[in-house]
Amino acid sequence: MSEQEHAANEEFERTPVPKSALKGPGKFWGMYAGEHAAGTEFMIGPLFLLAGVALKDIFLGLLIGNLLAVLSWRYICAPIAVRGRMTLYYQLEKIAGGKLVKFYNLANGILFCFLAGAMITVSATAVGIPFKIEMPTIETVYPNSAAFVVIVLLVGAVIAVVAAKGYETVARFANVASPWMVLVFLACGFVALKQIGAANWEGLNGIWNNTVNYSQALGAKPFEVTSIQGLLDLLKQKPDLIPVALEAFKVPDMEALAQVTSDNFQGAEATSTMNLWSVVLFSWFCNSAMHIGMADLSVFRYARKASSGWAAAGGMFVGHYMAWVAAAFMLAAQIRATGSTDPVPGPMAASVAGMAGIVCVVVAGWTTANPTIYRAGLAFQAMIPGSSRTAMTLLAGSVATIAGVFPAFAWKLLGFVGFYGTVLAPMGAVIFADWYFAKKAGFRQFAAEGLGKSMNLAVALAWLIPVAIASYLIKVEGIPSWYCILPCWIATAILHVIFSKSFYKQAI
Amino acid sequence: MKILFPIIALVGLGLTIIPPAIHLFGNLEIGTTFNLMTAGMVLWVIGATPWLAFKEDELDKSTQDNI
Repeated sequence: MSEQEHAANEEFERTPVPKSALKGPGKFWGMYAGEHAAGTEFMIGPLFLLAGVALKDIFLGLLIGNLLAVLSWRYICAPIAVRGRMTLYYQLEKIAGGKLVKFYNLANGILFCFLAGAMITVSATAVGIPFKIEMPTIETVYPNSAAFVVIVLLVGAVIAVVAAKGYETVARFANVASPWMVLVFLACGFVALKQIGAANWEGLNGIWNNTVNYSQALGAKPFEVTSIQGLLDLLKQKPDLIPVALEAFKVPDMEALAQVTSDNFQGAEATSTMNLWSVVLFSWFCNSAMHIGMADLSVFRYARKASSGWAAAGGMFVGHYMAWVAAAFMLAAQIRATGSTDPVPGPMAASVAGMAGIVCVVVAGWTTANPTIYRAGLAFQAMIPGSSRTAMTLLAGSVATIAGVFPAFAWKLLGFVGFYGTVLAPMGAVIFADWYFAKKAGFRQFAAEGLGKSMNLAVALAWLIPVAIASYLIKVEGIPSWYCILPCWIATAILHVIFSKSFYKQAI
Repeated sequence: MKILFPIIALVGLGLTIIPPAIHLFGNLEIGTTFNLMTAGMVLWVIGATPWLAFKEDELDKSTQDNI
């Protein structure tokens, strides 16, 4: 076998990537553009509308945030990737030790299961359309019907079995689907914009604000419903809320209440839970595990130059800008047309793209869940020596499917993605600090490897202390998770330097 | 025959995006738009599967996440 053939077959899991296996920038542009137009995009865009984000903040916030994400890939991740040419896991093992990497992998695997669960929910909302299954609403934490549970279980089972037995096949299928899915997202945006029916920016902004105000009035306590019909049904059961409803919607009687739409809504202006900086931070850090978290060392180790890091722009501005805006417009169009504020991807996509939209939602959810469940299976396999990859992948798929039965994971995707970054991204700070500051600060680089340790205590403390504090702030104090990622990352970098200097001084 | 697959696939992509664009900027009916997009989807699968699905996967994507 020639060196080139060997390079093409090898994955270099525990060796630096040789020059013969390096790739030009074009490969990375295509990969990032395709892989960031995924199932999650159908959820995230609409959730911005429901959070009350102003339209100008969406356009400007996503521009700044996605640019910062690209800069993070280009200047934080890619330079170390092209110099070290190692996977994240191998580089982390040298610094932190095999035991800690397994624990990191386990945390990654568990979080992956819940992310995959949300994607199974996404796909199920499309699969259920031909069977006229009652879809869960945004207030639904538990499954709302036996039929929905059955659909989720079936979809999850198929995805799990295929991930266990046919991962490569689905990965190839994802390669085929990606260019088409990108255009379907754009098409959804075009049709949604037509359905919104604005003639200019002022008109679009006005309609957007109306849908936001209307959504928040319906979704606020004590109503917490997703349509006027839902409100009327609630008021039949709780007639004492009628005066509250009439006041909130600024109408004189129930007859007028039944006629309320997002266009004629006269109630109070919405209170946004996400301002411009929230949008910036969310879009910057939603993939934090990959850029400042250094997971994409595994990708860019194949790049000839660090400038290939700019390829992330293909993913960010195609997937995280265009697709999110298109998905947000889909919900705005739905609210205007039907009065329903439920961000259920299947029906939304069906109303703007027909059968192509339904298939796109199924495929997008599936092609996101497939590698996610596969990697969770690998993580579990690493924790249980001697276990089979098939069994562990099926276990991961089972956990994901059960999570998918509870739509709350999909509806709370914004917070979950932020929490995911808060937990995992700080390990990238360990790699960053170890790479740039070991010699300058006088501590041993790759300490676990050099000292033969299976767990680097300095890394464990530097990682877990900030994450524990951030978890408390998020879960107990209610701080939005995307505010915690950067402080955690910086704190971990500083603590890694301090603890490593104390525990593992540089060898003389 | 091999040259046909990319052509079919690209026609499929065209049918995926051009009708919605015409619907937005012109007056193409929504039902027609949906039908053309469905046809585009089918053509893309027919053309792109033999064209792209069996290309050697040169890039290690074992740890690439899709978010």
